[in-house]
Amino acid sequence: MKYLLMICILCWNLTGIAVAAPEKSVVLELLEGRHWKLDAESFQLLGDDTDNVLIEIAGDTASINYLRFRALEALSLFPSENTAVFLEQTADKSFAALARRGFEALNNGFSKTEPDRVKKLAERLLQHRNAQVRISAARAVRSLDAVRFESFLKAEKDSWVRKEAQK
Amino acid sequence: MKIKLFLCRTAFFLLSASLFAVSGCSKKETSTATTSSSDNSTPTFAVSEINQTLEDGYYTGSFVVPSDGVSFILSVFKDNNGSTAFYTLIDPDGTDLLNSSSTPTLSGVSSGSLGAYGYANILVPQSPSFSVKAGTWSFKAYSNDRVKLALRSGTAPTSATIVVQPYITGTTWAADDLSATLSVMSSIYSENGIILSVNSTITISDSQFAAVSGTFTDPTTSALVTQGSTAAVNLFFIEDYSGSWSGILGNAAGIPGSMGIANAWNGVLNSLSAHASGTTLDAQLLGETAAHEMGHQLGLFHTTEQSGTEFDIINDTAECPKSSRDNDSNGQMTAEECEGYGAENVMFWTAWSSTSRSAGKKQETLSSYQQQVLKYSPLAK
Repeated sequence: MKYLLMICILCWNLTGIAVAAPEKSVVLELLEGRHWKLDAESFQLLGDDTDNVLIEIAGDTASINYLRFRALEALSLFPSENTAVFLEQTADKSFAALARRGFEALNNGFSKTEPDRVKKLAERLLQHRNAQVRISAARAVRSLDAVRFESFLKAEKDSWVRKEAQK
Repeated sequence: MKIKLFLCRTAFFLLSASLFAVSGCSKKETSTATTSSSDNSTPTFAVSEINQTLEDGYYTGSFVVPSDGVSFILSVFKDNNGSTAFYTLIDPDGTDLLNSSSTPTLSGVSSGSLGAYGYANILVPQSPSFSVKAGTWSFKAYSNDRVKLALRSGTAPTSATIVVQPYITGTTWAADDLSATLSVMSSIYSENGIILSVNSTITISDSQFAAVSGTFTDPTTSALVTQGSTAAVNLFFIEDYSGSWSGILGNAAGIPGSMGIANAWNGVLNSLSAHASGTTLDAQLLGETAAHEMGHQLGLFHTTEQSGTEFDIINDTAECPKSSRDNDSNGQMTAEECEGYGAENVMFWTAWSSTSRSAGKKQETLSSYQQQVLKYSPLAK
């Protein structure tokens, strides 16, 4: 009887998990559109487990990039540890366009709650070979560490990058 | 009866109020007139600056449309991206096209009516409901630095050729990588009665243009788009968007954008990286996006907007209303929900989903009236 009860509780929990995670197709629908912008309310209505679906989409190397880009942006709405780790890895190991968005999502989602974590990643990305990644990192550092931002400006060789970083 | 677009009604109201306040206290003065000629190979297309006189707080001016006038775009400019707009545009019969009670009207439709920062315009005809009547047209405008007219004259068009100038930025892709995309775009227009004459792609190697903002008043974007040809629709295939534009496939400088005048609104942006899987470009989707943004640049609106409650001003385009087609009641009209109700149109607000595209769904049609707007375009020949 005791084991039967435990099995029932386990099944109940699994059912709960299944219900809480939105269907991938539902999430994908929110990522479509030619002129897309993040609809925070619609994503948040999908529930906390949406981050796992977004991570699956953003990490799908076979998928078209605009869906991956948007999934990354939407992940900033779900600031879990799982999300932070994924965004850090994306920023560190992906091609430039994805890396920049990974960092920007981390910055948008975690700069208030975990500024040191954001700053640590930004510091690394200030050395990135892609100018747009450096610009994003520099803009984040500017609000987190003014001294470090000034040293970046002195070291950055491209004048237009310095100018963009200060926008 | 189509519902007209009132996308920025509140913003327009605020802009109008501020513009009125600014313009209402000036004394009478006249701007300096200059006239610029168009490309000599297109003698039926001419650009000129119009003299303005400041009267009763408005900048006023007039121009004459000849008996063989086909179309025109009237543009107002405000330096340093200040706000500007037209207050009236009166045709030779005395009808104000910007008055909401006129039939037809461009009130709440054209950027020249709604107001914009740095640049706004009025295209006539923006639908077959309008005609370019011969005679003297007059306008009143809010505070501005110049008004220019791009006028096309000649015989009424039954076909059209539009010159397209592609540009590519960044280092991930090269001009050759665009050939399939440009072929898709040309085919879409050709199937709809519009011949595109596509020039060789120009590579812009300056690294600052690899990724730019989708805001055309942004200094970097402005510096890029201002390089566009005055004799073509300029398509800028940028490697990526920067900043908050990260999720966008493409955008045009206006509906319509500028035509025939070198400025920051003389082109459209299409993101290459957004259309790639890895580094492999989706030529069909990118071709559809380029065709879509070019449609905006030449004056076509979305046939159905995202909400399913706003539609274009063209009477023969299919509508996909939320009231009957929003199957999942989420307030967003997908292409799948609108199949047979306009999702196949180049100017539908969104592309087919990845799943549908994989199944062969395409957006390649333009209605007869949409085609007519393009055939009458000031830039068409």
